[in-house]
Amino acid sequence: MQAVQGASGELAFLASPAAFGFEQLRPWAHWAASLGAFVLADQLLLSVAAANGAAPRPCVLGSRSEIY
Amino acid sequence: MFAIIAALLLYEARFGTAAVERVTSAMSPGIDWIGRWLPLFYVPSLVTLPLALQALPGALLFKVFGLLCCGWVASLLFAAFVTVRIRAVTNVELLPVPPAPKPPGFSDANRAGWALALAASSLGLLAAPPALAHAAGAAFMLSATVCGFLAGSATPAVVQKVLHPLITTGLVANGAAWLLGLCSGAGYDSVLRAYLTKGKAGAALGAGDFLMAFLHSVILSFGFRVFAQRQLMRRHFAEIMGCVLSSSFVGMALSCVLGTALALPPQLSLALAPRSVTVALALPIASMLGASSHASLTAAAVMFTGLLGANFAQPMLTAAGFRDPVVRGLATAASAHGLGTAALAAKEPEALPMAALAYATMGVTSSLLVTLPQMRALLGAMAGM
Repeated sequence: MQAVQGASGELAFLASPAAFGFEQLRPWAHWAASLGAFVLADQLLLSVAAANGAAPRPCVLGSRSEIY
Repeated sequence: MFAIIAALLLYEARFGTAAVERVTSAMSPGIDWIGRWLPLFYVPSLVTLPLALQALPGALLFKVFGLLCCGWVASLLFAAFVTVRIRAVTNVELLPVPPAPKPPGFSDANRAGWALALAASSLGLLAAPPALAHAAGAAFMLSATVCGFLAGSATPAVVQKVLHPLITTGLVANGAAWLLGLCSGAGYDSVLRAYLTKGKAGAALGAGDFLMAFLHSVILSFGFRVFAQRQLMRRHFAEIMGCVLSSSFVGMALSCVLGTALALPPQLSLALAPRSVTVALALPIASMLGASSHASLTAAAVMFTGLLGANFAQPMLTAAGFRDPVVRGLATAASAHGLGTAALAAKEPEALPMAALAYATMGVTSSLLVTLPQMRALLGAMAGM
C-alpha cells in the first residue's frame, strides 16, 4: 500500500510543473515548452497513425514522408 | 482531444484538482497562444476557395450556392432550437456562464515584426535564385497571410461585424497570390496551388501547409479548454449530445432534400451532404455515400459553409434571440464546423469549449451514421436515387 502511495506521489510530482521547472522558467521559455509539448504530442500521434498505415499529412515538424 | 480530456479527468480523480490544475497551468501559455492565433490556422482552406469553386459546374453554381446558403441557415437555427428544446425537456437550468477572458489583442511589436517580414520576403522574391524561388514565394505568402490577419483583427468592431478577420485574411492572401502570380509570371492559380499542396505527389509544402500543420495542436489544445469547462459540459451533456446527433443527421438529410427540390443530380446532392463536417472527415463521408467523383465539390461546399458560419453565425443567432453561450457554441459548430468555431473564439471565448466539443463530435457522429447501410440508403432516397 505504501509503495502504491509512494509511486502515485512520484507520478503526481513528475506531471507537475515544478518537476519540469516551469515555475522557474522565464515566460518565453514557459510558452515555448508548452507549445512544444503540443507539437510533440501531434508528432507522437502522427507516428502512431503512420505505424497503422495512415496517409501522410503535413506536420509542423515535417510531413511523415520526410520523417520515415 | 478526447484522450486528453479522459486523461485529465482520470488524473483529477486520482490526484485531485490541485494536481490537475498544475498540469493545465503548465500548458496555459501554449493554449493561450493557440487561442489568440486560432482563426489563422483555419484560413488556408479559405484562401484556396477560388480554386475549389472552379470545380463547380457553371450551370449548377447558383443552385449549389442556394442549397448551401439555405442549408446553413436551416442547420444553424435547427441546432439552436434543438438545444433549447432539449434543455426544456431535461429541465436543466442554465446557470450563469463565467465570462472567459478574451484573448489579448495584437501588439505593435507583432504588427511591426510581420510588416518587416513581409517587406523582407518581398525583397527576397526579387533576389532569390531559381532554386529558392518556391521558398521565397512561400515566405511571402506566409507573411502576407499573417499581415492580412493582423490587419483584419485591427479593424473597428463595426467593420468586423460585416467582414470577419478571417474573410479579410482570405482577401489579402488572395491579393498577394494575384500579385505574386503576376510578378513571377506563374499566374494566380499556380500560386494558389503551391500555397496549399498537402505534400501530394511529393510537392513542396507551401505557406498554407505550414499554417494548417498547427491544426492538430489546435485540436489537442481544445481538450484542455473542454476540460476547463467540465462542470458545464456534465450539466449540459444531454443538450450537447442531442444537438450533435440530430444536427449530424438533419444536416445531411437537409442537403439531400434541398438538392432534390432544386433538381440537382443525386450524386451532387450526396456530395454536398457532409457540408457541416470538417473537410478531413467530409471527404470520406461523401465517398461512403458514393459521391467520391465530386470530392472537389464536397471540399468547396465545406469551405463555403465555414465561410458563411464565420461571418454570419453570430449576428444571425443574436437576431434570432439565442444569447446563451451553450446554444451559440453548439449551433455555430454544428452548422459551420471548425471555421465557425475559430471565428467564435475571439469574440465569445466562453462559448469556445462547447463549440470545440461539438465540432469534434459532429465529425465522429456523422462518420458513424453513414457507416450504417440503412442511413446511406435513406440519404440516397432523399437525394432522388
